[in-house]
Amino acid sequence: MDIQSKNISRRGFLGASAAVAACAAALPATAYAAEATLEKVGGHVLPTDPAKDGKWVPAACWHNCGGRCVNKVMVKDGAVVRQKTDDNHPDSEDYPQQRGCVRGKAQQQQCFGADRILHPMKRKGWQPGGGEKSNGQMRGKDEWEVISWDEAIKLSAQEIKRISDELGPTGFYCKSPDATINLMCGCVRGWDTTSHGTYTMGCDMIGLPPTDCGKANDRFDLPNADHIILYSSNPTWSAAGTPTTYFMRAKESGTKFTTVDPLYNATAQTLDADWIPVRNGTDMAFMLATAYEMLRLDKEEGNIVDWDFLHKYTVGFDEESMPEDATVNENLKDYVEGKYDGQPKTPEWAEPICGVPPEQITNFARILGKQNKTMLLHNYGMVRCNGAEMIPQMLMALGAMGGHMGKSGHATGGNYHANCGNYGPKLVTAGASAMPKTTNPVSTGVRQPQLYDLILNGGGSFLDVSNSYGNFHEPIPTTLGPIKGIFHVTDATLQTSLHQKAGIEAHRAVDFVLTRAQFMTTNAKYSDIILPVTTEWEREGNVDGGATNREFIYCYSKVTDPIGESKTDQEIGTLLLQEMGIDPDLAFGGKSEKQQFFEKIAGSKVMGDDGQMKPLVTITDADIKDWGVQGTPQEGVVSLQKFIDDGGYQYERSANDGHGFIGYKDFIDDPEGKPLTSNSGKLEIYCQKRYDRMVSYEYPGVDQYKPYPTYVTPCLGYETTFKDGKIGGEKGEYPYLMYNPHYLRRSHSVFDNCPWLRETWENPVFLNRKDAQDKGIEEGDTVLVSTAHGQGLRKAALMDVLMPGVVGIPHGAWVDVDEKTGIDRAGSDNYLLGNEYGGFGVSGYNNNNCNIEKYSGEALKRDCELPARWSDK
Amino acid sequence: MSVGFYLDQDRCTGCRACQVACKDKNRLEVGTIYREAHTYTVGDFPNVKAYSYSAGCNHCENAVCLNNCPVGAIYRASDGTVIQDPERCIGCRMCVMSCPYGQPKYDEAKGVSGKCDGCYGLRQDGNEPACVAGCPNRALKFGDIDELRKEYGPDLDNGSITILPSPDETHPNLLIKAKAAAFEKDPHRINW
Repeated sequence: MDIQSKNISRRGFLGASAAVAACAAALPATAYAAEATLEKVGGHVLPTDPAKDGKWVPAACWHNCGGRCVNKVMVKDGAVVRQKTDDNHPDSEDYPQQRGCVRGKAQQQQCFGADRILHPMKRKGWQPGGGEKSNGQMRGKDEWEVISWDEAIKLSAQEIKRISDELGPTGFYCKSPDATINLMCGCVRGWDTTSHGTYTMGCDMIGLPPTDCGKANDRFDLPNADHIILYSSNPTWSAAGTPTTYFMRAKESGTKFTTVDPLYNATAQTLDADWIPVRNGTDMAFMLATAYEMLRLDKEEGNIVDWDFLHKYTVGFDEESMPEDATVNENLKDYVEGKYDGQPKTPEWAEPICGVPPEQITNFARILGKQNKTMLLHNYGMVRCNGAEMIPQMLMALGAMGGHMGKSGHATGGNYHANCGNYGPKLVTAGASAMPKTTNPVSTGVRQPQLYDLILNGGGSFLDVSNSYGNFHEPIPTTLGPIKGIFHVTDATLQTSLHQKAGIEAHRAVDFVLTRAQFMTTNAKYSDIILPVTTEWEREGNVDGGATNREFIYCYSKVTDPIGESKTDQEIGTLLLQEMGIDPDLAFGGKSEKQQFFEKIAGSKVMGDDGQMKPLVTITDADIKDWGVQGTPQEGVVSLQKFIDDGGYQYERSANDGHGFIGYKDFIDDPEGKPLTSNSGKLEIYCQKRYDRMVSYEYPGVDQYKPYPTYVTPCLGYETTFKDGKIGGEKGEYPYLMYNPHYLRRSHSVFDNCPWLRETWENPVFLNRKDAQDKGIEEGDTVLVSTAHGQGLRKAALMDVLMPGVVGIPHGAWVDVDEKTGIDRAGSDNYLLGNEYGGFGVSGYNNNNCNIEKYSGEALKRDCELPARWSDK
Repeated sequence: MSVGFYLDQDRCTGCRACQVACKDKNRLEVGTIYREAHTYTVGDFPNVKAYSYSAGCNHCENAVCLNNCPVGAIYRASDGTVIQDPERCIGCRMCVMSCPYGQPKYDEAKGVSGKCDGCYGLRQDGNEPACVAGCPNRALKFGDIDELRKEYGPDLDNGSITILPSPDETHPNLLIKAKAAAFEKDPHRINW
């Protein structure tokens, strides 16, 4: 009966401690009990639940997907035998279970993956001392040897000290340093506009929330809309879990859906949305023409543009609403109507750029008219494009033109992660555990792709404008010398940043790369020493406040002792600091991980009947004694045991429960009393401050921009698919527009190694059927995708739901370079992207140029048929 | 009594959570799939419609897998569930070849076939099948087919959508709240 799993390691539970053993086949799928009392049919004993009577443990599902759903694992006879999602309470639309997605169900293949790195490892050809001793060109090609923790820590500390003594803190690079790195040496940081694209800069200057993770309405308000526009938004894939059901509820009550996207995506399909296919990176042309049509229809038919709203709540739309700080006497309306350049931004003007037929633009303008209750909800794919700097102002302007803010049934806002379709203040919050504050001795940040070039050049001069996500500041002229050490901690920088090919070479150019990893990730593959770090399933537990779900916080507990020799980040940090002669208490305050877990529970809050947040969890003296922690008893609304057993707490909602939320209502009701964060206190369609900041960065092409939204030619985009850069001419060497849709196999790069997900989601290249046929490419053929920067292979998926001329490379596959050809067999998006930039340096993930051809070399196997990238034999 | 699945195509997004929930519960290696979901389109760009379908065993009234098994390894429980007994299976693959839905799956490593038993064991303890409980969009239900019809209405399709073989063959216990596009000709499967 027993089967040996190929996918799950037996080695994992041969570790030193009494780890919970796990094997996909630790229990047979169907048990046949011998007891005579069981029902029999024709001599067959009916199946029972083989996992019955095990213990369900609420388990972490902790990745960068934006959701935080309930995930439980069954532990029986020392093995993990099954997972399940939320069954804490009966499921209803008002009070929905927090069910997880396809990825969470394969979470066991992370913790117990056969490809876990179980021991500290050193690249064979690497020796400390720098220069030739590091043998850097062999990174990614060399063999690995298992070393002891003692040796790994000693070697690492020795090399960190050497580089630190020679170069100081700017001799190191780490995208997201933690307390340990801050204390050991410090480092230069990299910045990237990653997820929120051009919403990472200056949204507060426009009057929107920082990075604009809002402000739409509460989920109970969705059915009040006549129309919901999902702009560049596919929550079924990018907010997998419960959010899609909120939109289904609206559809069932009669709300009509429109999707604006180069792909007729899974969300649009399910909701039977009307599709407006827009070429990626050309949204500004579409939006300007929509504004033109709204103005025209308003003149000809009336009742389209909400002039009162524009004049009361925004600045910069027309001549009479200019902000006081404006230095250019121009406005959006006159630009749209062609007053400055003689070119009215008509649908006929826009069509050759964005590909949308004029009648669809006119229809869209009508939907946005003020007579409709319309929600304009967006995600961020359209602003992860070169030239998309002014989209945040333009999208807000379209919403404002129809007056779609601050009222039930109306919204203009983000549709992101777990607050997708459900925006509003949190009704339950996670507590924090105060830890010592450490400071990186270096504040310098470099734009990630330029950082790779800087490492390869041995240093350089640049304007420092940011050192982390969404943290732009005044430009600081900066010169850096060589960088010789790289740290990878919890992120997947080398995989998830563009200009990956140069990134690999930059990793090969330094003396030392130190990585904490669970698997042979891209970061790990190009390292010298890998320190095996635990997954969250092997830690004390946590209450996660990082997610955006306003109704639920999740709390997970330990599933197993650490697999192999892996250690937690805190344990690794402690060892490194001790070896460096630094007191670990400076980083961790002498606080155990269990104490930290407890403090997060104790500090969790829930909305009380009086509208005040109150302690969530009841904690008794006995609990404190039982846990062996320091704390104070408190009265909450749920016992500690229930909170732990349920894996969190969900605030029970109902319609009209007083916790509904309408985005910007406070400002709309009282614009003087509740001004926005912009200079004018209003929504700034014309924003001098944001424009001035952008211009101060002196990036290429910035002269094209105005302080209000205009169409600019991106450094790379649709225009550059043509030979002479002019739309309509002869096509160039890279004639297709390439973008990187987020893909359900993974959360960014996480899960790409899980066998079940590799089998379930094949990760092909998305091709328009006719485009493929024109190139002689059939379904499943291996396709070579080429850009000016790299080449990759993927099997072809032909589809009618993708715009012609557009190629989709799913985001996040772990690069797998064939060292002979330089071709990436995994189809990593960032291996195909380069370092071009403009505006204020947005990472243009979604409007690159590529060519496609049927590959003449050996065809790819299915990803799930390939051996694991690493096996700890 | 007959039991089977209900699928709401207005709720099925093709996310395949059911597929992995099934693999998890049944401890299936790569290569063996009892339930799978796919997305189909009809029409050409830009006039295209789409729908998704989650396919599994239909616990048919005329269960040809059961009828064709030469050793009686497939049987029907009193509630109507069609169950396969791997202890009796000789790996002849008659069931695999006879099912028009391609359902019983032959596992080469084990040398026997296997199939969906509607999570019979879980149901005896009052739980739902793993695919149903794991569907984030509440698109799948399982139960007494008459009860399901009563709950979800009389206008449900019994398996005649274009991508499926004719229900006249095996009389599947299957109820689909179908999108109109699912009846159109010449669907393309999106292999994303």
